[in-house]
Amino acid sequence: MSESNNKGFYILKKTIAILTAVFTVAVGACLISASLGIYRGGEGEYTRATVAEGLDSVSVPVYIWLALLAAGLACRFLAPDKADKPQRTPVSYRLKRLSLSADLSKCDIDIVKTVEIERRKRRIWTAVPATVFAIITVVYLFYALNGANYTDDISTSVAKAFAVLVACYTPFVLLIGALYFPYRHSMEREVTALQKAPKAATQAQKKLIADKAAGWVRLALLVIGAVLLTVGICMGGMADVLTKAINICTECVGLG
Amino acid sequence: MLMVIKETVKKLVPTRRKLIQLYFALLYNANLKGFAGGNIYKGNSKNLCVPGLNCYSCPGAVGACPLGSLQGAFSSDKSTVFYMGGILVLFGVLFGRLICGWACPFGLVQELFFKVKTPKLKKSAVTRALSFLKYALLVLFVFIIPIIYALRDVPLPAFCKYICPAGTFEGGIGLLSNKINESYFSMLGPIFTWKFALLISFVVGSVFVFRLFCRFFCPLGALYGLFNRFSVFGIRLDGDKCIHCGACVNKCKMDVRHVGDFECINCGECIGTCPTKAISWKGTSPVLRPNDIATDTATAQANTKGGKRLAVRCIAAALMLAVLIGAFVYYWQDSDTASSTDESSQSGDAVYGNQVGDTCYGYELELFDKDGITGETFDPTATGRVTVINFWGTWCTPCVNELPYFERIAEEYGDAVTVVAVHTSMAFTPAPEYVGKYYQSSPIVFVKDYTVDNSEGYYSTLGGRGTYPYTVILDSEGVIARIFLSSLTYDDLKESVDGIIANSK
Repeated sequence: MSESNNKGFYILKKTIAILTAVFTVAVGACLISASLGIYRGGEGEYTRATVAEGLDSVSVPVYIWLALLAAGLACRFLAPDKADKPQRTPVSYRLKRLSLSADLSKCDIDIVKTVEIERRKRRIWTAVPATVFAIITVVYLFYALNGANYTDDISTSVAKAFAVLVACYTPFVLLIGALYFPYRHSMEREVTALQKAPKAATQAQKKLIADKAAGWVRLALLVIGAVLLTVGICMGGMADVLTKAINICTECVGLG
Repeated sequence: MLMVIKETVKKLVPTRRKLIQLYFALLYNANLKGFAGGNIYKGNSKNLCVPGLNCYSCPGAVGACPLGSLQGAFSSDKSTVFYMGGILVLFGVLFGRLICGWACPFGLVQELFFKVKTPKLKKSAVTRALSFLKYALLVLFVFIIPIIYALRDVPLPAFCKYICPAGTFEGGIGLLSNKINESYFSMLGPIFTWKFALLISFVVGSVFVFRLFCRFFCPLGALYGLFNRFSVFGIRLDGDKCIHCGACVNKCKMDVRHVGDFECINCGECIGTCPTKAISWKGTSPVLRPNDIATDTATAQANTKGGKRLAVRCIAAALMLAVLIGAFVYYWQDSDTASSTDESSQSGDAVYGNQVGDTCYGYELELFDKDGITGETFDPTATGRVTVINFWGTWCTPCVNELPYFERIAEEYGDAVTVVAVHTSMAFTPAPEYVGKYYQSSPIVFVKDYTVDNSEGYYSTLGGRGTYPYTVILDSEGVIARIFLSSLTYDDLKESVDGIIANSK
């Protein structure tokens, strides 16, 4: 197939992908708005007829979406997918590799100083959000574990608890976002410095996973799990699980 | 052109992992009779939990959901907490998030939607930060809220009720899509609207974001992820061979920092990208190809198509298929899927049945109070007055929430109306204490249902199909005047009772 034909198909594929994205969102929005429309129609408005009517209103975008899917599939047969662009190694991995292989004892004093400064900076940039996170968690738990915040109006209480969670942790997320770029630049500066450092004669082989400790923890967890399960079965814990599983919790599946 | 078609077809053929995900989705929902009959399975296999997120209110579900059962355990006896704790710890330590990658039906649904060709949102520091949201949801919706309300004797599976899309999709829509359940539409209201909107948002989001729900919202994945490092089966990274090139992390679509961490769903797609073969499977070498470079003839022969491993895989596939077909046949023949008992029978002039206008079947049900079963019985149809029969359970949130309205009706109407609250015979143990604590001097008559083959006897006789609460109102002659499938407000009850009393005069 000629290059210009290929290019044409790639443009067509891209266009179909974008249109599919638009119609995916459109179908979702239509479905949600149809159900809101039925709900706002008043109590008892959900019937097979009104739901069918709601689905009818979505049928046109759905058919267009299906047609776009078919067209996208056909294009894949006519033009191959482009190879993935080669990805750069994440900076944390490059730093790890260089940290293990560089011999700082044979470096210039400038390189050592740069590495130490950047590491100290990052320790502070880790400690600050970690402290903020701990404080926010303690504050939030004071709210979340306070029974007085949960009233008989369960839905409102639950919504409030979630809203307070979001409100509490949003500053923390913004702080992380603000520190992300300087943190990353610090790692890149250290990478640049370490690239000039001589290589160590033997690389420090630090196991990523402490296998032996993990093995003991695994064994302990297996024993704990088996004991809990056995005790639970002997005490008749299966009966309650069965009761809840064989009776339809209507509100749990949205029938409410 | 032929090469392009071949390459495309190769990409479209489902991978082994997709087939195994599909297998588990079918196995968890092997009760095909439930889909046909529009009701859920009530057999003993629901004593056990399936490892993945699969709603037990799905008509096809043959096992319990671990997350729903865990939340329910907090409002049950402590034995249930031990049982569920044991199950989750064992699933976690044996498989970790291998369950997410290979055995979760909702994960499969999301991955299928992700295949739709649209621009995709790549992972970044933002998605990495967002992935911690599921731990917050785990702590708040699965532990804190259910426990706080359980201490008040209000069972509240908060995650199931307000968030879980699997419940809405498999349970809600699964039940509604059958014409037999047409009456369930009357139950739909604000909760359905909210959960439906959430389900659609997750599905649409899955088209653009790989495993949106799993990465940011799933508490079960969060729980299993805590065990990932210690799991018996899953992905393993050999630190001695790793050269920290980051190829595995680049390939991975989840928000991993390194292979096998708590975000890793053990899908295995990173194995082929490692230049030093540092990534392999833990504990599965009998059936999966080892990742070591073949250094001797014996290993090289074992790796070839004609080798031992192909035979083992074929036998495993045949066994798995046999289990699945066996499950389909077994559950199809099993009679433990409740079906509608819309039968009526004639006795003299009265037509007995469970529909409006039929004379209600009577039964001597056991009375209970705060001290337990009293030894006396009570027939709800023999009162000679308007009788409100409410089927409930202490494990059912809307049931306990609406009981005060029934008490108010009983107090206001006095001798004109009898209110009978029929508690399920299963999970009956906490009922006497609950009644003693909150309804000690209540005019409500508390009785216990009887069990027939894992079903509630009187509830089924009066047409109950598994949904709670369920209310039947009889007129003074014992004829069924109204049936309610969902929870009621005081106004609904008062209006119905007033109407029936007026018609009786």
